[in-house]
Amino acid sequence: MKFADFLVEKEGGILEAWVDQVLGQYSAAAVPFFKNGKDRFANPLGHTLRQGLGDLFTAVHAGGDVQAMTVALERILLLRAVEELAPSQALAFVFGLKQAVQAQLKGVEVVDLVTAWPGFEQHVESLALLAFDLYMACRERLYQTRINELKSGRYILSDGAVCPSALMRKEMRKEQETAMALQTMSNSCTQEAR
Amino acid sequence: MTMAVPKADKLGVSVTREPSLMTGAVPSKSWMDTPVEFKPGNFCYPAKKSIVEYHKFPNPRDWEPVADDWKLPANWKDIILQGIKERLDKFRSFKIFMDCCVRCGACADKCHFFLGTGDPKNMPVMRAELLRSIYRNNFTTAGKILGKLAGGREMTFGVLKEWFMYFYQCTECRRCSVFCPYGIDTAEITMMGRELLHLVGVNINWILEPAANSNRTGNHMGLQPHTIKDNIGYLCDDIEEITGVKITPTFNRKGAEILFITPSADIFAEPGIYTAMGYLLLFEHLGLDYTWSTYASEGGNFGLFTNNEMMKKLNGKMYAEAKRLGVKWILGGECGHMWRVIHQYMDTMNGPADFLEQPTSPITGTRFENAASTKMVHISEFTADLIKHKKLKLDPSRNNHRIVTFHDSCNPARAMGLIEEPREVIKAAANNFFEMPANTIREQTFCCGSGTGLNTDEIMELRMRAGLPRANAVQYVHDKHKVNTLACVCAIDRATLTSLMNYWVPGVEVCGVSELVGNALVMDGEKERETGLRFEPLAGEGE
Repeated sequence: MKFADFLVEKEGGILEAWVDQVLGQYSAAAVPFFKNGKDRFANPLGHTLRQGLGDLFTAVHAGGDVQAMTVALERILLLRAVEELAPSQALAFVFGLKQAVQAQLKGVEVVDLVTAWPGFEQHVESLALLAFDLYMACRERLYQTRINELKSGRYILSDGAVCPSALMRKEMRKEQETAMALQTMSNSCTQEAR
Repeated sequence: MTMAVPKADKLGVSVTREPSLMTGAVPSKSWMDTPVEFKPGNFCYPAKKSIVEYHKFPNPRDWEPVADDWKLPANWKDIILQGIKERLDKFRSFKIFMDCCVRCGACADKCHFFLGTGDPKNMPVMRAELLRSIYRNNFTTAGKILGKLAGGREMTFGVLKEWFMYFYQCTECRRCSVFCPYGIDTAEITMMGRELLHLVGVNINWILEPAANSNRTGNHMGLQPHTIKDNIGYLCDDIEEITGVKITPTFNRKGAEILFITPSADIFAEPGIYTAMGYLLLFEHLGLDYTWSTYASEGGNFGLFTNNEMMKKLNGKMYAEAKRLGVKWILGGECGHMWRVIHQYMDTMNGPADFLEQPTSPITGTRFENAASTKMVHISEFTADLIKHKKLKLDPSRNNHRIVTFHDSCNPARAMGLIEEPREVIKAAANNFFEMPANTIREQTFCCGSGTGLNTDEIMELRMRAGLPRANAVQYVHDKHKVNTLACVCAIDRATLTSLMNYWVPGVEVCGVSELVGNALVMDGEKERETGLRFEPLAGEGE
């Protein structure tokens, strides 16, 4: 069997192993639900991962088209970028594809493995580099979202730090303090002059 | 946070034996033995000492959730247990909810926090169990004798930490209660949990400071009367520029027929201000005899997220102002939790409002039977009734640049059953409307992920995760129907969904339903409109 045929034949097994790796990072109590919940709206996280990884595998297998990989990666990385993972943890799943493929290779004779493997590995490496860029783009989008929230004034929905009446009191206090300081200075100058 | 070693065969194994990245929970142990770990990003900032003092709440101090010492009173356990006892005696619902759960699991996968984090303690049944286990241990015979065997456990500092983490990872949206065969309202359990935490001085600033502002000046933002008047004046200036119609609303006017109360965000923050412009246009269109109030200047009630006494106190301003001004009834703007307070608590807390009349639309003559007791009508009910009686001149083509879907805000949908009215209004005001999937709307609507005072930016990542189920459904209609507008009837939604869309579904704007009405209303003496209320070009204009 050729490597390309192997990827087609074992696609189901490879994908399953890859999904399991990623889901394994969640609490054990949640994994069965994320894994088996079929409704994409009732189980958005599980669906996003499964769909995204599936599309990604297809894109890699089809030759590593950047546009196709970008679309598939973005949905996964939007998720990973808000999960309080170290960047390396968030992106480790990309390299996990190699492990998932290797696991399926056991006991299968692939005649062109030695010549085909470097090409496959190169696709995964390209995927990793692309994932770096997209992960950072997701984080930057998050920061921008925070900035937008501040700029729009929405943050003052409930942040009393900018309560106008409090600011006014603060301002009045400051003016009083300045006036008192000036008064004190003026008094001491008058005394010195005398 | 450690770096990942990309050995896939080990990865899956190691992570399930290591603490959860979100909470530090270790899955291999029983939930009772899995401690929480606070770290920046997974908790809201504690309330400032000065704010706790202002409220005259117990134990004002500076403290840090990440610290080992929370500077609790020496007898804090007794205070908590006594607090539970008092509440069991006072609130029959609390007692029932503590007793009747059979752990069927119907609610387990219905919470947006669980769906977005995978943290089992965010399953509603588990969240309730955090408190129920203490109840069993101390207030049931089986628990007193059998302890852990009967599902009980001692009240410890670790338990208190769990409460602080998970009662502030619940937005009291009540989606879980829709699926509970017993109708257990987990929101009320969270409310009790938060009340108990207040007794020992464990609370968050994002809730208590707006509550202090509301108490002092009448609204979350601490806006004083002249600021409210000025801001609404600026909105009227914009309306005049866009429509050519000059509007001069009245404030605190005695003898007006109707008092109008809306969230203060509607007159101060984007995109709520466009909703307020919609109200102003609607009332002008009708020639409504109404007044704004600078005293009852907040629809929202952060007391609901604090304790029942605070909720009652803040809510009291509505009836007090209605009485002072001598109005006949109250019209309420687009707000979420405001309507839970009004619909479920106001009448018994601060009623009966026997000095008011049963609301009757002065335009259509419709008597709002559902508001016979509270004397307060929702703007969407009021507008839908006008539309039904063909009393509005609407040109929905002015919203042709908007492809709209509707997010049922949790409280109006689940706490007062406001399902059809906003839809009727949208369909009359806009030509392009598409529903999100059935299990994400109406009674089953998904929360924005940032309600109940959790719309603070220090937990932005958590908010994005909790909002994933909602964003995912919006993404679907965005992809399928090119939806670019997410309409809603809640001020917190207008703020938080905007951030949620910015992150998950860029290209989708958030608006209030009344903004669409304002865009579509054909006003007497208006000039030709070139833009919408946010000065955006209309379809066919400036493209």
